[in-house]
Amino acid sequence: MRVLVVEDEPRLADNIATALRDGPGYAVDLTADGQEALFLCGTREYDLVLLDLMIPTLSGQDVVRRLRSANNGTPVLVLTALSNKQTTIELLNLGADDYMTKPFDLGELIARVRALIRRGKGVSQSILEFGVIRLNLAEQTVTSRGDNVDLSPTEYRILEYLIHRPRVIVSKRELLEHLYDFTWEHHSNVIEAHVSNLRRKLRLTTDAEVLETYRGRGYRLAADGAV
Amino acid sequence: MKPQSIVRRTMLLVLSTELLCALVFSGSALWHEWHTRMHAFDVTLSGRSDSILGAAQDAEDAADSIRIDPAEIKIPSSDVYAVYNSGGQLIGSSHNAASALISRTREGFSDKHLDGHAYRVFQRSAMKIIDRDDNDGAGVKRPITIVYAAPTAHIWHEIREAAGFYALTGLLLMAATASLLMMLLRRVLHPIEELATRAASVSKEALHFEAPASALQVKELAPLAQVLSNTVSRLRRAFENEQRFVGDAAHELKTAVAVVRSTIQVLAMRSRSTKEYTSGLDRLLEDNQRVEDLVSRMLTLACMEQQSDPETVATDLGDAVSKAVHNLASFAEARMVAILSETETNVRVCLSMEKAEVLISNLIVNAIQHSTAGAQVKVTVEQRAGKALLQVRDTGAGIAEEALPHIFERFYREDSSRSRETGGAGLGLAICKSIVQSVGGTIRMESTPGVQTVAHISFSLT
Repeated sequence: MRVLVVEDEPRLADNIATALRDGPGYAVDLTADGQEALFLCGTREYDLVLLDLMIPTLSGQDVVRRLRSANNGTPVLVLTALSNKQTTIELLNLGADDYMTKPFDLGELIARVRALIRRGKGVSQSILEFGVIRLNLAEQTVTSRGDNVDLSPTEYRILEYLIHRPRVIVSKRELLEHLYDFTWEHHSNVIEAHVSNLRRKLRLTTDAEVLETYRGRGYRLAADGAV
Repeated sequence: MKPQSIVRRTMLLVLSTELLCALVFSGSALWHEWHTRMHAFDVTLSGRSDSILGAAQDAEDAADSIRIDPAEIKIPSSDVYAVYNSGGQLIGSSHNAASALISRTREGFSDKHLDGHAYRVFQRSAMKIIDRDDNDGAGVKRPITIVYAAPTAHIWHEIREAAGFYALTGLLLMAATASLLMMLLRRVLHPIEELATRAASVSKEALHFEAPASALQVKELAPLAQVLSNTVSRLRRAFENEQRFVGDAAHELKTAVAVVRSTIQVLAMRSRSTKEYTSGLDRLLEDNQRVEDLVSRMLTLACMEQQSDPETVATDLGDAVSKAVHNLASFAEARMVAILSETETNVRVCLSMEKAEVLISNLIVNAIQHSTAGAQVKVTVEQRAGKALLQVRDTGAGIAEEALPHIFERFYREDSSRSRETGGAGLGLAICKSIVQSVGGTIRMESTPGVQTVAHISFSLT
């Protein structure tokens, strides 16, 4: 999953990014500027935008408004210092999905981010199933027929992304973009190795080819694999 | 104090003026009337006395005396008369003549009162010619005195009637004026009432005032409406400013606290090595320092905005500069920026030493923060044209033109990331501005990006 953090206080942005990378293992992009945030949302696909309201060049409200009017449905979680009802109502009406007032609890922030991403993908529970594979988003664990599947963090994140979009071919680039931050191009070569490892581990536990590769098109969780 | 009604006062004024005019007018009219009638009456009296003269006849006696034949006289029954001969002997009078009326007094007209009635009395001497056949047709002249009196009651009655007429006309006129005035005043005052109603609807929640068109159309009222409108919009701006400040302050404080909290939570996310914990604690201390700085700056700002120094305070600007430069020496050294000061002596301004130091320090720190290593910050104090001038000059990157009008706003940061690095909260220049303004001075920033930036502060000398 890839998250854009828009926060002009560098230390706070840094801490949030660390928490999101270390915790759920998301790719995190950072910006301190409203205009740039809008530009990034237009050029990359994020699974969530964490947005501070008081940022330079373009206020958080304006960012939400423009995102929504450009038909960008990326979930937006607003971080605000203002806790009055009026602002909150205005924000939600503008199209923000949730908000948290500063100072906030990082644990709660991560939980909300997870929930919003899940809901953004049309999934309402935190345990996702695909055939015999069960993926627990909160615990970040994967089981197959009840047996634990030991995955590396990157392998887990690949599976997590694919399981959110079952039976859909996900391009290598899309996968890269959602897994890594601004540096995704450097990871272009290693992703194949990670996918191959994941495929092997899944084959071992499910006795089926769950993860298919479509040369030049991408990867998908195969329908056939859903036993 | 009880409010006075314009309507009542105007009515009172106009009506009393009108009453006075009516009184003066009726008075003079009545006086004129009385005079004319009296004059006419006098003429009548003299005419009637002529007929009395005509009625005097030769008595045909040896003394050639004369007599009056009442049958020949046609006068109103209320009139009385008497005729005296030259010897003062009453030779004839009306039958109802009271002696008080017909006694001889002096020639001409006079007024007399009898039994509560006023009389006009006319006394005249005349020559009655008798025996025209004698003295070759010239006759015999016999001097007589005629006293004629007539009651004047009817004249007074007529004058009273005239007075009554005037009074009635006056009253009607006043009633008409009053109602017309009432209508007129209502119309005139309507815009004021509308203005008041509109003004009354201004509240803290709805700080908006649009002058009603009716008030703006009245030449005398338009300035008031305009002033009201301007005042309310100034108030609204000030209020919005305050609200923005509160919002900004909340944002800054909560963000600073959020940083501390998130740093702790990141540190606690998993177990770490002693080294990691140590560096984490250092970060935490740094974050906490930021909170402390922010709080102290906000308090400074609040103090500066509230306090005003007594007028007797006088501080030598040069001394304040020396102190500030001394205190900032290590800070400047750490950033490898030199501070030069050029100060005239005895430039004294009405500012406490504490405030002067805060002002100068803030300006120098600001200049140092925007200077690169090896640069110079120059502080000058001089006296020119009766003003104390303080200038702080740096050769840093400068301030963009569009940012210049905002740099004295609270929490304004020209470029957030750069200022975050320099550690400013966007309050330093706001503090400077409130200090300078508290003593009626002026502060402005002049910048040629890439060349130099100069803060100009001007004070009145003490």
